[in-house]
Amino acid sequence: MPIIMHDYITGGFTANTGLANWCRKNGMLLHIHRAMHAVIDRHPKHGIHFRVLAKCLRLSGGDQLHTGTVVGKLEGDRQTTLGYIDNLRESFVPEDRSRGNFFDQDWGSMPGVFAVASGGIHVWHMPALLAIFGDDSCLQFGGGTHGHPWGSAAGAAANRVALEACVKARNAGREIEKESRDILMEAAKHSPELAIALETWKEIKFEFDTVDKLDVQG
Amino acid sequence: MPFQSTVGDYQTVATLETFGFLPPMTQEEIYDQIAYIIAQGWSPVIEHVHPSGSMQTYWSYWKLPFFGEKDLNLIVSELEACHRAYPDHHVRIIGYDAYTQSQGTAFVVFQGR
Repeated sequence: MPIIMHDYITGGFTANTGLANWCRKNGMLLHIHRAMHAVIDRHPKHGIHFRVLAKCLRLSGGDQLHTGTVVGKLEGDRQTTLGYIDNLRESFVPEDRSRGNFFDQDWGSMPGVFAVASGGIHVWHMPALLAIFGDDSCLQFGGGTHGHPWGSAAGAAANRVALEACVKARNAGREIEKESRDILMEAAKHSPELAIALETWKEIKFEFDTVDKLDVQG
Repeated sequence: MPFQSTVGDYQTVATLETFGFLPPMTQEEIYDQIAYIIAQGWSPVIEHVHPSGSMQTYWSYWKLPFFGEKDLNLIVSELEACHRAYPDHHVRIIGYDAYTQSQGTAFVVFQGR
């Protein structure tokens, strides 16, 4: 599957719209990066929220868009992130101020955009990522794949086993975030790749507060 | 744990889509997954194909899609009927999501030989 990656903020909306039209016409998948977004959306005193930029991207066109991961090294407030991934994928997003959606947004039949989670994520994050992003998302494990002691193929197998174990548990009605440890440990029993991955990444944590919190009074 | 002593052969056999990396599911676990498809409001669809053709885009339908079917037992008995009729074929169940107009989920229930 051919795929193009584009930085829509550095490239500009006009370029992105042209590229999106070209990709749609030529059967090409368009993966959207958001380099430079932090300059615009992370300062509390000026700028605009990433939710707005995400909406612009859906209007402009693209198949996948990087979003905050909530967990991992690229932070993002959970409720806000859920708010704008709704705006990427759903055809109707109701007003919900706790999620930063200040009015009903009807997208009609506008095509959706997959949310992409990436940056410092590894097998231990899998249950949380599935709970946050659900189906129709793209989870990118870079270091979390190639950093596996047995090599990239084993890393990929470990991530896949973890993902499938979580999906299976979710579908069977288990609370994957609360029972995350049990689910992963259970899956590791039949997958030595996953067992090694869990051992490798068990101490890796990113714990700091988000800076792009919703600043809503009353 | 020194990894040199634990390096093993990682999984290289071809797998069959969703849950392909997990060990075979028990009957109870398969029922849970089918119940999930029904609970999501998706339409169950049963498809089968000979293992030699499993990489084809289109597998053959078993009967017609079971639009709006809510009965878990009926779906299970249809899966078993399909497996009896084509014992050497892969048999998979799909949950078709009418809202997104695409497959909500799909996984292989019986593996052919």
